[in-house]
Amino acid sequence: MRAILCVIAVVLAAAAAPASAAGLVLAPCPPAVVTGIRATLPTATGVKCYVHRTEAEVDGTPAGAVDEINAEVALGDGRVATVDVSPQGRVRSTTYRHSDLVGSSGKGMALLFWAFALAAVAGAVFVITRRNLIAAVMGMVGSFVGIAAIYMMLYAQFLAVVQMLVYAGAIMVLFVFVVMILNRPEDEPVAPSGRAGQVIGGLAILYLVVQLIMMLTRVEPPNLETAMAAPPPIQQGYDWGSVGAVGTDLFGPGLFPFEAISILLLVAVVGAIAIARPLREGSDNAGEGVVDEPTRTRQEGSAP
Amino acid sequence: MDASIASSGGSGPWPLVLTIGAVGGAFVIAAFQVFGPLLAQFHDGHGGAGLVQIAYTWIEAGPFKAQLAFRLDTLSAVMILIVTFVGFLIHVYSTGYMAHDPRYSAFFGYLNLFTGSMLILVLAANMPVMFIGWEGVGLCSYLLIGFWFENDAFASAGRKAFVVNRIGDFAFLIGMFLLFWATKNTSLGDGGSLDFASLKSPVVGKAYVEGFWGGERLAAAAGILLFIGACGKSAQLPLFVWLPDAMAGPTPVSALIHAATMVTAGVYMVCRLSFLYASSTTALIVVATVGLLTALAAAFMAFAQTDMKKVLAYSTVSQLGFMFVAAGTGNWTAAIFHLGTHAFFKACLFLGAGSVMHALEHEGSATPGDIMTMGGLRRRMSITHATFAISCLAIAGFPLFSGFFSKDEILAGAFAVHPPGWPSGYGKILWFGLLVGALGTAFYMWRLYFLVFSGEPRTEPARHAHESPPSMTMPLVVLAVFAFVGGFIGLPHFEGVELPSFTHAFAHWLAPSVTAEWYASGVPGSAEIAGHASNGTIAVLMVAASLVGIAGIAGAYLFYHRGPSRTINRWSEHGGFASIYRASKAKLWFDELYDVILVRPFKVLARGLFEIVDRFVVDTVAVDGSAFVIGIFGRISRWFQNGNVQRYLVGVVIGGALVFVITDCHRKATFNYTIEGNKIQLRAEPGPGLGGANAKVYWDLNGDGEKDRDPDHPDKLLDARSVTVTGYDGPITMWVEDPVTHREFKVTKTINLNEGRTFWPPPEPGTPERPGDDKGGK
Amino acid sequence: MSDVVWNIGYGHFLVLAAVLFLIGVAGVLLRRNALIVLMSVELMLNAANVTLLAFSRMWGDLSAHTFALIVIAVAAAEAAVGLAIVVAVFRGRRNVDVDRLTTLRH
Repeated sequence: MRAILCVIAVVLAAAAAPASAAGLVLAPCPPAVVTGIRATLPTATGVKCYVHRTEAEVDGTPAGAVDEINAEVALGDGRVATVDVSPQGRVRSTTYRHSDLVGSSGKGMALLFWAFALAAVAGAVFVITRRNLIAAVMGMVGSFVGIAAIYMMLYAQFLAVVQMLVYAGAIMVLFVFVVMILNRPEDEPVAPSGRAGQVIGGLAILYLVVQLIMMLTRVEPPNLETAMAAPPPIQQGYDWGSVGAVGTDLFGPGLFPFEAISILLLVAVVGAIAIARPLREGSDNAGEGVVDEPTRTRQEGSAP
Repeated sequence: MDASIASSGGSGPWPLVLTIGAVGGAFVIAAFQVFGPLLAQFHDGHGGAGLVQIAYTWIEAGPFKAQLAFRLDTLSAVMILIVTFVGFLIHVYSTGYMAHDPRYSAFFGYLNLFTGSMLILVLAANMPVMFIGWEGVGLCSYLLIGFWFENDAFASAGRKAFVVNRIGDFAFLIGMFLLFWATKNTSLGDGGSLDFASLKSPVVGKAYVEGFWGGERLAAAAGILLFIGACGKSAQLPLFVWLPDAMAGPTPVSALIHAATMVTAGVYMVCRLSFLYASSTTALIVVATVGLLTALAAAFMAFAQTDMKKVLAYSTVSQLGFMFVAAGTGNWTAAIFHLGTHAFFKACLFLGAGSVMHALEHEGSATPGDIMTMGGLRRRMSITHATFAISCLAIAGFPLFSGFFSKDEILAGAFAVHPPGWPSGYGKILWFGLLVGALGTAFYMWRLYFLVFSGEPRTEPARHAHESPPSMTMPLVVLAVFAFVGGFIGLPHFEGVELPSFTHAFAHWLAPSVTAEWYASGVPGSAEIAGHASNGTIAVLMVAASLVGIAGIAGAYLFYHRGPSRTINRWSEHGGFASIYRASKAKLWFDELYDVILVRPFKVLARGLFEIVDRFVVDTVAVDGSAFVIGIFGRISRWFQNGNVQRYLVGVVIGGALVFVITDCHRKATFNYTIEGNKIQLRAEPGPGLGGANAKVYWDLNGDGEKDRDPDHPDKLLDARSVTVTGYDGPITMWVEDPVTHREFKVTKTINLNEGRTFWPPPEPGTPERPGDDKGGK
Repeated sequence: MSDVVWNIGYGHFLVLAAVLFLIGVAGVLLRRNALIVLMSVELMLNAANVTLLAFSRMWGDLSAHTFALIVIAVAAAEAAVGLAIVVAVFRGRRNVDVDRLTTLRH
């Protein structure tokens, strides 16, 4: 349990991080800036300016606003440079986009990734190995939390929150309830071994693991240089992955699937109620007065 | 076009109202269409284009397109009027004739289907649709000839009709395919059109006159093949054997087959494809010769027949021969004209025969069709007699009756025919042969007439015969009227003699739909195929034809006017005439001939095939074998199909793994690179599996397009998985040679050394060493 | 080696998704408890979502977020119905062992 709590804490910390990274405002570039950049980078094809305005103070008295301009410069050879430039067009420094996670070259993000990936995988392994159902459910929660953090790293803040609410919150609670209704530990958690089918299936899974990993490591982003940089805000001005951005898409082109999903959920709710309610009105027939199904099934199962 | 099938087995008046209403309605619609829009179009000079109705696209394969389309032009207009009008009368007649049959409704259903198929055939705008009708009438003839299938002989007569027709249909199909093949490269752009309008166009016409085989034009091959189809349908010489047997069907069916539908299909088809036949003298000669031989042979066979309907059947075959001679001499108008007049008088004759047999059957005659048991019916069946006599006069070519004009037209056309390449004098031979045929026709028809109606009744049933009900006699009267006056729409054309316009109506009417001119080089030339005789010749020919007709009637009167005369009986039993008589009676032994050369060998073959193919291949190998194999698979799949969802999922996972295995084989070879300073580290990825592991990997690291040599072993090519290049900035090519197939994949990438730098400005590019110097296997 | 550890790229996310997915497959295949099977299915759906979002970032296409949201909704529906079935089965048979649920054979 303690491990899970730690994971949640780290996730929350991580969730705060990318938000602070985006503090610049997209603004039209002053002509002097463009001239200065062109002088320094002759192959520049396009310039995008992010203006950072701070109120400067000299010896405790306000000395007017100081603009800092970070310009994104597209170069003729396809690369993108980030240029720190003064409003007068003096280039202070030029950085080429580094293909590192989240646009920062720190090792901290890599550590976070490994931590959450480990949490997710360990939780998943926990799920399929535990005999105790409650332990399995808790492993599942841990796994979901790790996955939510991974979402966060992929700039999917909204989905990360939804993941926490819906999965780790609602669905897992539902599982816990059902586990409590059943209230029976498994006799034999793993299906009997030694079957040819299981061996073949296991080998197939192993093969799939190897192949999938080999294949996915070879996936190349379409734009290698800018791929791992922080994604730009969407056209309407909302940050990538924010509620606004997802909402714009969801209620725009995604409206029909959204409405269809609402019907699906309605049907699922009705269906769940219809399936799970007692067969006969007024009597919860769990246990009493029903055919001894297991016996019958076992007999059938033993028949050739 | 509204041919509906009444539900069989029903009773009451509804089937009748439905079927007769359908045919009658069809006639009204046909008349309305012909005398309304089509007539207007005809007067505008577009009679050949006709009214076209496209239902939908039936077959579409590549550029080829066959539409379910119908075309009403002046030629099909004649046909639909005949088919619906005569068909309607026969329907009405059948209400009386079939009144006591238990499968009354089914009969009318078939009859209607028959008429409908025939309408499809004549209205078709392209050959595939025509073939629907063509097969449809074949099917209906089988159903109707074998209508009384309880009798084995009748059932086998139906089968015979079907099989013989199939032989012709096969040739028809090949001919159709040949046309398709011939026209598929023409610039019409519809990929081998079988549409009559396209086939008729001069663009396609070029294809007909191309050499095909043995110096003959393609039109000859296609025309003869299609004509073999027509032989089957129209009962011409090699394939006529089904028609006499077709008398097994109810008499209205015989009337329908012989007069309005089915047998006229072949003549119609030849006339419809007149442009094709107008391109090949050979095809024309074949058509004319077969027609003449059939006309003579059938007339000969009719002499000794004693069954009323058989005589009529042979007369039909003979008259169809006349029509084909007309078609073969390019005299399309005469062929269709004779087809029309023949439809009236032959329908009248058949229905009259039916009326007679109906009467005799009612009086308990066991052999109602045997003319030797009749005689003296003139007084007892006056209406039948009168109509029969008029039709006999018409068919014998008695002056002013319809048959006289149509037959005369054929004879005159044959006499004067002269397309290019036509053997000189052959037209005269045809003419003379037809004259002999006409003599025979007059003789045997009047022999029939005298044996049935004149003299004294020879048996008890004939003595008590009575006239048929009005439902049967009314159609007779109508048909007889047309049999008499029908010829006046096509009087012979004398130079300088002005007759009322209706007398040439028929020829004018048909002219836009048929091609009377010889196709010299794919387009109709100026020369007409059927020549035009001078006034004097026409007159002489007319007189000759009339005299022949009258002579035939007189001869029949001489021998038969009081029943079979003793002279005839004596001749038919002894002496030289007896063998001829037997030959006629035995239909020239055609059935026996076919039995020996076709049916028996076929039966032997069939027995052999039954033992080998059916018993062994099909039964043992195919049926038992496949059951065995399926059993094995069933045993295997039972292991999977055990209801355990997880085991099913194992299958899914294995399938997913297999997808990887399969797609892996096609993964392409490539190479990766990393840049450190001015060094490029290259790493080959030659592809997965054993093939990739054992592949040879060659490099070009200096941009000269050649495989580089190994610096350590200058006699060998550089073969390494990973290579380092220093200070080189240009295209790098890798070849991967498959160890098994020795095929090479080639991958070229241009690497920019500045890539991936995080500082600015880029360092001065170091003075490049000689390209390709600093590299080595690693 | 250090490159792989410290330089996190899309490959890492995708491989993580693959690993999670295959753990899910293994759970579905090997476990006999229907509840665990259901959870494994949820795990597979989540792995698919990770892939979706990684590719969404890679291609700069936000519509995958909508799609992932829909996947979550479907997963919720699936969990609801699946658990209802588990409860119904348990009511009749007193266990939820998928090995014994072989009525599909008939």
